[in-house]
Order: sequence, then C-alpha cells, then structure tokens
Amino acid sequence: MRSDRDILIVCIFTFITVVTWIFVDFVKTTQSSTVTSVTEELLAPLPGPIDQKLLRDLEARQAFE
Amino acid sequence: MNTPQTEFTSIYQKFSHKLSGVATKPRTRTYSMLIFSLVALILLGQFAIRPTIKKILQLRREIKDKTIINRRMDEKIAGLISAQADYNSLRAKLTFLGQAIPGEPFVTKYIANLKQLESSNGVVPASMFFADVSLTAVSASQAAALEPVAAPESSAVNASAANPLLDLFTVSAKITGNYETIRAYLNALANMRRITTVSSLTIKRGSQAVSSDTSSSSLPLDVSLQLDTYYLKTE
Repeated sequence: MRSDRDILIVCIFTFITVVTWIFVDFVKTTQSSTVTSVTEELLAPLPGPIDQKLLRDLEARQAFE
Repeated sequence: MNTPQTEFTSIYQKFSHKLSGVATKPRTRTYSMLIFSLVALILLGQFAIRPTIKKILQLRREIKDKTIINRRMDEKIAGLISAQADYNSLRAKLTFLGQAIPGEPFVTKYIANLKQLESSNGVVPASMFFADVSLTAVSASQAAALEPVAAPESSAVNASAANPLLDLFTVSAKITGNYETIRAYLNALANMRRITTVSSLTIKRGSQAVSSDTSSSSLPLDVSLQLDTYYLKTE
C-alpha cells in the first residue's frame, strides 16, 4: 500500500516537472528571434541623407587647381 | 514430463491469480489508474504535445519575424532609391569632399596654395616649415618600431586619437603685413576649400614698414601661424 502511494507521489512530481519543462520550452521558443545576425546587418538603417548644405558651403569656398 | 509450454502456462496462471487478487482491491485500482494516467500524460506531453506545439510556436514566430523583415526591407529599399537619387543629383559636387579632405597629404600642393594666398593678399612671407608627414601608410605599431625613442606628444597624435579616420600635418609660417592684409589673408585661409584650421596665432609689432602709409592700420605686424590641415588615413 505504501509503495503505491510512493509511486503516485513520484509520478505527480515527474508530471509537474515535465509540465514546467514544456512551459519553459514554449516561452523560450516564443521569445527567441529567428532573425540571423547577417539579416540584422542587412537591415541596419542607412546613415542620414547627404548634407547638401555642407556641399554648397564647400562649393562656395576658394579652390586652387 | 513437463514441456516448456506447460511450464509457461503454470507460471502465467500463478501470476494471473496473484494479479487478480491484488487488482480486486479498490484502493490499489485507484492508485494504479492514477499512476498509469499520469505516466500516459507525461509520455504524451513530452513526445507528442511538446514537439507539435513547439513547432507551431516556431512557425508563428517565424511569420512574425519575416513580416517585420519584409517591412524593414521595404523601408531600406525606399531609402536606397532615395540615396541613389541624391547621389546622382550631387555626384558633381562630391568631388569637393575630396578637395576638402584629400586622400593623401599633397604637401607641396598645399604649400603652393598657401604661397598663392600670401601673394594674392599682399602679405610678405618670412618663413614656412612643416613637421614630418608620413607619405605612405604606416600603422601605429610600425611607426613605433621605426621610432623607438619616445616622441613628445604632438598635436597630430592628439588629432589622430580624436578622429580615427583623419590624419593631419602642421605647417608653421611667419608672415609680415599690415592689419588689413593679414585680416584678408586669415579670411582667405578660412575660406580655403581644403580644410585648414589655425591652431595658434601670435601677432607682434613688426620692425619693417610694409608701406609708406603711417596710419594705424598700416603698421607692420609680424604674425606667427600654426596651420593644421587634414587628410584621410590610408591604412
């Protein structure tokens, strides 16, 4: 009788462990990104637009050829 | 004589008898049912439910990520098209950048430009010299190996540390002129397309007259200048 109870307790704890394991696994799967670092690099935004004022200022300066 | 078959039958009968005796107890039956149900749930959860739901979640996450990637790719493509249009419209002006900060020191050309500025603005050059300029790409470690004696920390080193893309060389010049000519010369320096900064400037009353005019603006002035100009690092 005693051994039946022990087996049941072991089964309950094993069940709790497995359920926790499955839950953690699901959370981890949901959180982890599937985007690779190479794709991240490709998606990096371009630097700002060309500074046209700077080019106009440079054009106005004296050049020696 | 007992055959193996009859022996197996008798063992089975004994076991069956014993098991039916135990299985008739209600408490044992309840425990057994619970235990087998839990074991079934554990096995089902671990080997059937978990992989299936995990795959579903992975696919959902992948769809979400791909949607975001798609949107950002569209934004990037639009940005690239806009940048290409800007580049095409400004292509002619982009050469000014190379003139402002060239890829090489072009020391002689720069000195010639300074001379031209001096003569066009009416200042009299007294002397001009410049510090060592590396004309080839030398890395910091190679430079250290070439020059084992610790050099004093120069402004060039400071500038290199401040901007890892730029190097500079320094020209020291002494000129003589009156207030107006020196002012015009300094304005012209500031207005040069090649970026030039005056890192130090000393003005003293000069000894020789630059013109016969004796007004205060024509008093001779000796000016010592230290000019920094920049070029791109080649390493």
